[in-house]
Amino acid sequence: MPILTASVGLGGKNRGVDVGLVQMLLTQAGVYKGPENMKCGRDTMQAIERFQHSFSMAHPNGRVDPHSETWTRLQAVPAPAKVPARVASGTMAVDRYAATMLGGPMRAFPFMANQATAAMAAKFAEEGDAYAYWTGFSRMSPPPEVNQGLACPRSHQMIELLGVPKTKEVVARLSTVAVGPFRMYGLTPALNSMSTIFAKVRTELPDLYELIRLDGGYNPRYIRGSTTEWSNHSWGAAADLKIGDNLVPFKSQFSMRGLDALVPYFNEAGWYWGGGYHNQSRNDAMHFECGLALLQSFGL
Amino acid sequence: MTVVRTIAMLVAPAALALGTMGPAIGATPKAVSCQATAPIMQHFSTPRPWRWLGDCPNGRAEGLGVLRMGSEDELTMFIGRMHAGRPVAGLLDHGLLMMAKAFTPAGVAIQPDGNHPEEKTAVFTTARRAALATSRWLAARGNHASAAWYRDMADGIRETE
Repeated sequence: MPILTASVGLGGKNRGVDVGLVQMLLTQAGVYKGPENMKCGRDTMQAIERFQHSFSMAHPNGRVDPHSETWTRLQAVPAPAKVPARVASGTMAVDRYAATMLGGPMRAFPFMANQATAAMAAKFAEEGDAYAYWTGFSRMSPPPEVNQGLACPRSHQMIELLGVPKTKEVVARLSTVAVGPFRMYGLTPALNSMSTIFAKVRTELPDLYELIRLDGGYNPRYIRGSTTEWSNHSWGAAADLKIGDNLVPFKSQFSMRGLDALVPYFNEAGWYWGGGYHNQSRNDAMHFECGLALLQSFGL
Repeated sequence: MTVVRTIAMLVAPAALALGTMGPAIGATPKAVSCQATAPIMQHFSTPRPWRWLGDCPNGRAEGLGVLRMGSEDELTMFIGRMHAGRPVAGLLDHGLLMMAKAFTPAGVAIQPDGNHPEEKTAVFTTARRAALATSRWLAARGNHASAAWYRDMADGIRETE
């Protein structure tokens, strides 16, 4: 019986051997037609989702976790699985899209339009459309590895390391760097780290790389709802990212595939993802901040 | 980028404009003609019908309000400011959010610069005020249930910024 050592797919650990194994099984299941190259790109992630749809998984997430139902079913495929029919436009198809992708009608905010639009269902069906795939909704169900071994620095720790926000001490460490998909004003060593991250993303997920935008960087302000705790944006050590100019609002109970796919790259480099906060009522899927150990490694 | 398409549309009576979001109250007022140029997102369709929930002096959408595009099953909203029937700034809600700090003369939305947080703040402030203005507009027409819904929207925008 083959062994999966870590998660594969959207936001997964994606170790080469694991990816190759999953690709082989997806091919056998008849849902994957790409190369078995041990690299987890969009084709592999979409194939996982197709496989999950084939057994009517409640919340397809494009990821295979060890010991998960998806993994169990993949190993047990006796013959090529049926590829699910494309989701067509129309109210009933839209409802099915919502039910499978979002766990039913979801209104994270009063003003959010019905997310299960026919346009979105059609986008999902267009497998060749990178924009549609990467900006598609994903349920906030991070893999077990997310933020593993990383600590989210608190305001007082940031002050000890970098100084009080808005002071010359902090501002002197800021600069503008072309980190890849955009230029950003922030903490210089953090931006250098981000450049390395995006160089890897550009190589491995080039059609996602083209869609990454900066929503917010340096911004000296308090954490929402606080008058004493500074946001890590105040030191230029955090970035909020958009995919194709689309935002995921703060406190959303969903994410975007493009953001999910970036998480393991940032985690590997020591960055903490806001979609994995312990306080789930403050989910912030757009937010990436330097972890405590990474900040300490800058030697400032 | 988003591009703009000009349409002539009816400003639906408040009681009818809101679908399932509020009860119809009182007699149905006559619809009036109101011209607006609506943003269209490059990767998304702009569903019909379109309704401007706001003032319409001289037959053109004006000031703070909400442009609803589509029905409950397929809804996109522009929440912001219009001037002489053209969008000025605001949020585009198609399930996800897009921001427009301004529109070019050709009607293409201009995104706030991520390195200038005050630009994003300005967009969200405009959208929050637009939601509140729509709430007052609806309340003035007797649709208090929907007015409350847009007040909640304004609160949600403030929390999200």
